Amino acid sequence: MSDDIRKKDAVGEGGGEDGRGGMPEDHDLYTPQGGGGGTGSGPIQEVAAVRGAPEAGPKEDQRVDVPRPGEVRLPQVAPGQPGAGVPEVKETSILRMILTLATAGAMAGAVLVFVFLWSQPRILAYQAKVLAESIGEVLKGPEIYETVYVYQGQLVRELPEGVSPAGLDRIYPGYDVDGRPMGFAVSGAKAGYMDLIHVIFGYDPSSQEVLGMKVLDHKETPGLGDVIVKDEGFIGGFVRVRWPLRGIKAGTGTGDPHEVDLVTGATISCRTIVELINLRIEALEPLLEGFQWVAPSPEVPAEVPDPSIGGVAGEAPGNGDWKEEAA
Amino acid sequence: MRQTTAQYDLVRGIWKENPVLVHLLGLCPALAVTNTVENAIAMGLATFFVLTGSSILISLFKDLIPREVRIPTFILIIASFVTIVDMVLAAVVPEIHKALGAFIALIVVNCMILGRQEAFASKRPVGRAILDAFGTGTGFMIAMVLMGAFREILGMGTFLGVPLFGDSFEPWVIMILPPGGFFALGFILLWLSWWRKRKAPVAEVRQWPHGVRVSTAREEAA
Repeated sequence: MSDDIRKKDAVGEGGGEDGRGGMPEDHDLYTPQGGGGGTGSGPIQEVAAVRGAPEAGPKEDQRVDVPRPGEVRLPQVAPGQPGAGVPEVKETSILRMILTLATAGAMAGAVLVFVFLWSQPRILAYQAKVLAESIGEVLKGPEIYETVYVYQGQLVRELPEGVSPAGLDRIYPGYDVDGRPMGFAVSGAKAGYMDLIHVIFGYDPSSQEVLGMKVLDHKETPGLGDVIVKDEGFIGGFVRVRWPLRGIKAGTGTGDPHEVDLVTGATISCRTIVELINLRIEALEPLLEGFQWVAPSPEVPAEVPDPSIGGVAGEAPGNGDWKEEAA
Repeated sequence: MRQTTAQYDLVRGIWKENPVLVHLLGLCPALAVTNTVENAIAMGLATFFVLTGSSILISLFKDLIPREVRIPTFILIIASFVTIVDMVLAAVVPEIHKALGAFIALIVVNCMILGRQEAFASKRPVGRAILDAFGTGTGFMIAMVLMGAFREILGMGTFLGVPLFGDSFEPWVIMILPPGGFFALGFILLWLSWWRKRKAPVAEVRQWPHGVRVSTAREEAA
């Protein structure tokens, strides 16, 4: 097959398959120069330098394969030839890129501000509701409760000017209908089997009894460790137990008021809660003894607890210090 | 660019090119949060919303976004939608938000979403981008619910919290633990490929040695 026929085939098939006309009209580019031998992929011939090809190198190296019959190739353009060839990809200016990203970022930020303003009060209200419910649960239905901060080793109702309540440990004293003290609700967290177990419990310092316990957040193994929130018997076991608590294997109790039955298969999770309560009371006991019980007047609604603290979710920053001690 | 019909754009992602079961994209949430059907549905809905929203925006602004910065811009748009979903879920359904945990934020790097933007929404008109997002989002949801049902039924003996087997059922706790995600995905993919193989055309060799002709079962039926 001569090179002329090859070329004709290529033009015919290329043109038929692709509307743009796959072959160049510039015959100079494809004039056969007696190639056709030995390359296995069609004759080799010399063509003008391709734009963008390396400048260096001897001229005889600037050769390309001629398309085989039926092969469609985009035309190659010699330097200085206008019009023909692959359209160049337009380069975007750096300024435009920066402007695009800045605009997109600003718009995204603006939208997020509105969503944040809408959602944040709801999120805080929900967290406060959860905490208030939990306090009610572990203190067995107080009429009213207040928030007391642990500040410089003292229990204070009002923080000094300029001191942010964020990050401070706090406890919640509760009062019954007649304004009599019922006990403190105390929250805390300790590493369980998988991750921190966040717990809130009620404690009555006069009788040194734990009033009740509730797990606020945990990641214990489903089906095993999660009995700490599912097993009513275990949770009920924390009602009216004398401090310090002692976890025992279920069924081996001797009637000692310090005993809490652990659940088989969830020993670590259960024991963590017992230890957490003991440590937390041990740390707070000296403060609680000197606490002045003054029931807030019922007209003044109890302060909505700041849900960012106190272990509703997340890290319970107020308890960071004792957590390290516990570890 | 492959030309497709609007109908094909819609149905393609649902089953034939299901993002999880065929393309194996978005496996991170599919393995992590499918321990119950409820979580799977919530994750599916969140992803559906992010996919549809970002597809619409990216398709609308495709001519304004320079090629060189398209990926950062896509991620910015996707991340904004994910943050919106995160806040709205926390405000409206806090329990589900808590259960999904960090995986809401990880929707940003769900390759299924970025893949649809790069391969489809950034090149097609808005209408087609919406159809594609609906199809792909539905496909993702179907895969998530399949996984969630498989794991919840075996792992807890319930479906959407409703007990199925009575008290005598001993739950396969492993199915709701992380390994259960891999088991579930493995068995579902195994079943799918077995099913496809059964449906595949029957190849037949004829007229040997003059040539090999492959005829499909469909051709024979016609």
